[in-house]
Amino acid sequence: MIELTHISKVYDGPNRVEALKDISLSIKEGEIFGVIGQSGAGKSTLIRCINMLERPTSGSVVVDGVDLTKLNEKDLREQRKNIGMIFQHFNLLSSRTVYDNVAFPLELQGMSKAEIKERILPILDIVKLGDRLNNYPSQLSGGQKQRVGIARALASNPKVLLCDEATSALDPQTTKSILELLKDINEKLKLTIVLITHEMQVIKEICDRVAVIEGGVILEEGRVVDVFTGPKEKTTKEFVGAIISHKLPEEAWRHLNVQPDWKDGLHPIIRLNFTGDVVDEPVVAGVIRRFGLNVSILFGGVDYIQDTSFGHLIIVLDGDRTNEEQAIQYLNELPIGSEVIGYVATNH
Amino acid sequence: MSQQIINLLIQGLGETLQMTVISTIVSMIVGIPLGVILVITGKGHIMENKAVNATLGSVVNALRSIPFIILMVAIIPLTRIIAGSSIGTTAACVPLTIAAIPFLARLVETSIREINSGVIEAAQAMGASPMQIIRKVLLPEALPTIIDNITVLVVNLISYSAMAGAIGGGGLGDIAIRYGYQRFQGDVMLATIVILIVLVQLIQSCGDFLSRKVNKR
Repeated sequence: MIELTHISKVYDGPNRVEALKDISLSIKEGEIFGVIGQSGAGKSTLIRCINMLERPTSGSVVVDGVDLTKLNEKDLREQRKNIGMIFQHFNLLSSRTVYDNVAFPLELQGMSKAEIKERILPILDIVKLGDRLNNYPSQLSGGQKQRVGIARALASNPKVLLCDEATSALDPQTTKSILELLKDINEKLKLTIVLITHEMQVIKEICDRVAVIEGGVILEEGRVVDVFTGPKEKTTKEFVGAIISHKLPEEAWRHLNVQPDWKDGLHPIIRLNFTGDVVDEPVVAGVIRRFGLNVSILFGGVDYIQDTSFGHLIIVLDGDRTNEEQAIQYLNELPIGSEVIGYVATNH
Repeated sequence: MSQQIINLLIQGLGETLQMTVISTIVSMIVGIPLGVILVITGKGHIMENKAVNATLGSVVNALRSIPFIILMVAIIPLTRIIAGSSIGTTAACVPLTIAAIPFLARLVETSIREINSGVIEAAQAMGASPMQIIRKVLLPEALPTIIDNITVLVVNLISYSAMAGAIGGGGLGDIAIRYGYQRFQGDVMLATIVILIVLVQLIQSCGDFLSRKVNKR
């Protein structure tokens, strides 16, 4: 649905900034694609390249088969009607009522009043604003304003919806309801959604795939479940760590006096990651039984990323060094993630 | 106060109103679009154009830096061409308007600049053309402040029109100078001042009312 090919964006001037460096992304029809990054990473520029609010310095942007970089202003305006956009600060017209804000994009297209009414009343129902038609934005809460923003973006029947930090100005409860709404319209209207955020929670909640951006470069990209269970880059690990503790809590780490090297008398701490429900062999029991080791569990938990369960366990193997090494070998061969994260003395 | 003086005051009020209304209307017709152009041709705006922006900007600045009393005298030849004479109420409208246009343009420019750029971006994302953005976003969103601007302008024009009276434009200012000052008729002076105060109060109240009515922010 959206093909970004070798996109780069340079802001010239005395402080030359390379906001995007050779980014290629392919976003499939009907998916919810998330781009996560810290502020200044280039995610805002990236999403604006999709509807050409920012013209990329080089590269091509193909949305629904049309290369937007090759269009003149007039044709571009025409194509933008297929791409809805919602914003962090909603960007509603303060001088217009809820109804007139939603009618605005259709008015721009020169649609008649009757047609507009027929088109937008059902949309206002989807976003549950049917009773707010005559209110002005200043009379609405943040969540309601974003619902108006969503309704406005949906009014022209777009194929793609771009969400620019759409929930960053909202409280957690409202964020949840807006994300549910986005998920809902994604399913009902088969709408392709691209969202940018700095909150991993948002990605975890609704995205199918995610790209991690930093310094104008995509560091990592893949299915959300994969990125969560096996983050490769440091930044990704930080984002994932913010909502799923891959690590022992800092205090426990200090208290245990964890060492980086396997010196004599120390025993390995291992992190196990389980994805899905399929683990044929009881892992911990297997380690105890096969290698005659004592296993103590330090930390563990289960998270759900959309419908996939994702568990992790941090254990210490205590026994003979040879047996410990064999056990690590054995764990590595199992279809689960395992990683030695440090070494401790066991009389903790 | 004699009937004659009362008639004189009524006539003066009429002339003041005539000067104010004509120059307000003409300066709105020219000044508001000029203010819009100053914004949209600015850096990073919807119709960025450095040459137009710089040229209009300096014309506006030049006109605004001439004190009104000097502007009035300096453009007498132009006034003659436009109004057919350099004396009288109609003639006074020319310098008043020429002073009012750049003043209003700057005020309107500031009001439009205050609009959150995100709103403009949203309109662009919906495929709005520059004209549509001006008509459906910039002007309606800035309307409450533009009404405030026009109120300030009208009050200023009343005060300037008194100066225009000094060169034969008529109006309340003229009466205050000729009767109140030169003939030492304190009651006439007082009467013109009271009328002006009431007039300005009325205009300010109307402006405030209208501005509040359209303000949904």
